[in-house]
Amino acid sequence: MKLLILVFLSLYISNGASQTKSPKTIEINDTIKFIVKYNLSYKYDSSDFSKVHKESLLLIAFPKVSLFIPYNKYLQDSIDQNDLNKVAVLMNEIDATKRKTSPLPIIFRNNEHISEIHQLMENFSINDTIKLFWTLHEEVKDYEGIAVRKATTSFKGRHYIAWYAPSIPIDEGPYKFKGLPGLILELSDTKDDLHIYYRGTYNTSSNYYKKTIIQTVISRYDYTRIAKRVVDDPMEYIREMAAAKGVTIAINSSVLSDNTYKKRTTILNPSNPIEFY
Amino acid sequence: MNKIISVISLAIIFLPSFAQVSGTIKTPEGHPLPSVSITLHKKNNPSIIAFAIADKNGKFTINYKATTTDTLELKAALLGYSKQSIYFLLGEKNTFEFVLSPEAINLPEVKVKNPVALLNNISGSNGEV
Repeated sequence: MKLLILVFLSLYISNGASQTKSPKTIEINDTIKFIVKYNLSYKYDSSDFSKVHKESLLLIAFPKVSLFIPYNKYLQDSIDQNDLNKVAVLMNEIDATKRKTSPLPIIFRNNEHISEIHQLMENFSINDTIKLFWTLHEEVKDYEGIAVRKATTSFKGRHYIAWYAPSIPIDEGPYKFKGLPGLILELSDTKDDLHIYYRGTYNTSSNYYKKTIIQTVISRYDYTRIAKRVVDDPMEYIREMAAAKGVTIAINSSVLSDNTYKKRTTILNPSNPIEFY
Repeated sequence: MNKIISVISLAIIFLPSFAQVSGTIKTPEGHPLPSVSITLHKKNNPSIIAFAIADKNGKFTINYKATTTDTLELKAALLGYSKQSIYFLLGEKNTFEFVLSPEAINLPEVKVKNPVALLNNISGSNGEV
């Protein structure tokens, strides 16, 4: 219940966090080329590597852009845009007890331009341009019936091994990784803190997808500051944002002891980050 | 002095020389086709010597170590388009043009346990939560 109150308050005062920055909009209104499902395994806590966050993620490719998004978020979107007959099916999958907060942002890719969208009280977007330099290796293995080849790269403090499928000729992959002559089916860093692996594809010909993402574009430095404040003292952050809108909030700070919320904030701002800089 | 000249000469002889191939990818209508994977192989060998991804203008450039006298294969492939290969010998040709025709997307499926539908209107799905 406390968590629910917190969520409502966050929504009520959202846009306050951006203060002077005006929100921008990403509009996707296009035919889906294909959807790939990946599973994630991520050791997010540097003080306890036995804690592993697991979830499913989707790579949705459109003719010119792509979206890498947590599976549950896609299903939630689907309720908004599909008829009510589908809701019953979907509700089973987005059962609140199964819903997880994702440590990975939504990734919107337009060639080398990336918008990294974090959902923290409101949507914050960090824009970046990334060009990965891959080294191809001779090693080949079988990934559940698909021949994959090895490639390696380094990205923001970690070394990665990718296994890509030349038989699926598309230069896409999970998270921010792409640019190989075949879809990346498996990706892990050399410490195996992060492991993303392919679980299937969806035949999506002629399916349409419509999504509007309203986000405030900020620098990584500013985002890190906000994320730290939210994790350290979410109620104080909410009070400040509310005050900026002329709203006074009085809530018992015992909400901070809510274990679900603490876990959520730890995952949102992991001590073992995927990117070190 | 002679020794230095000899060492330099040997180094030049044994240094691998580099070659370059470049070109464009188009649709049958003549429009540039971006994001095409261009891979360079020895003929009948799946190992990739070098590769490039075509840019937004459908152009590509591949630099590679010119160490083979075998026939080389330059392969252009993009999901949803027919694949095309061009065979050539080193030094014989270095500019290529591919024309790829659209075809049905046919992704290989990985069978997983407990498949669930992503959406009712998406067929051929598999996956797990």
